[in-house]
Amino acid sequence: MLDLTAADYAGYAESRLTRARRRFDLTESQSYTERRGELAQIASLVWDATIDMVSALALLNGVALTGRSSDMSDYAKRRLPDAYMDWPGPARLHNFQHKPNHPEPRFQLACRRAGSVLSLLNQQLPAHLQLTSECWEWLARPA
Amino acid sequence: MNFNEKLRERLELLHAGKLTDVPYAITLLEVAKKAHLNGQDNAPRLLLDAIDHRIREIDPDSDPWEAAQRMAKEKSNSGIEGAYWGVMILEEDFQREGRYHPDDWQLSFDVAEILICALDLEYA
Repeated sequence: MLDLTAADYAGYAESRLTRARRRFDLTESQSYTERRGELAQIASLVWDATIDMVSALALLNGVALTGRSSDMSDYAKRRLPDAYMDWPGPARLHNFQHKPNHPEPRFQLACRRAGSVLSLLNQQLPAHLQLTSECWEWLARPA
Repeated sequence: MNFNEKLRERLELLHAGKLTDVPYAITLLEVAKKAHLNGQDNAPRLLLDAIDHRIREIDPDSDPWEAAQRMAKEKSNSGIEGAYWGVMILEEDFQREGRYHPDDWQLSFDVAEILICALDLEYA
């Protein structure tokens, strides 16, 4: 098993968010219905990036998490309640990747909330591991 | 202590039964949880009622959703709006589909509890 560090996870989060933003930009001219499949992939990347950030913070606290969604959510709830208040956003994106049936306004709000979670998690990282706000600011744009 | 640490401390005291000033909204949350465990249709509504109660204690004159949005801005704490939204959409899902997923219930319950504790700190 790979021995990943907090820096590795922060790097993965940055990479996923960059890919998600590129995919978002490339399909921006399409209607919400047309790009729903693409948005499901984007939702998946944003959820995974959120989990990467939680993994990084857990490792910095000496905790190695399993990567299972329930364990990651449970850790965030117990250790990062401030960010967890916005967790319904990424959680709805997590559902969206499997069942992309949310109406457009809800998808947009889930994205905006996910951006808030990412920003709050980022604030908890040491300065040298922090991502730039460009990584999640695009999540506040209309889908 | 930063806000996250203060919030964590308050939640730990609550869960350990050591919180001396338990807000009434927490009692209402327990009522909602019982309704959920009994399979009552009004469980999501009761969950929303619990956080509405806490918000109305702070701002009795506004619509609770609008108040939550305003409080989030006032305190630079997006989680106030995010948590309220999370509970509200559970209720909306139930109204539309007549059911809700147990995981969504648990998430909404948890964020409602955190929201109540966060409001205790923000509006002490």
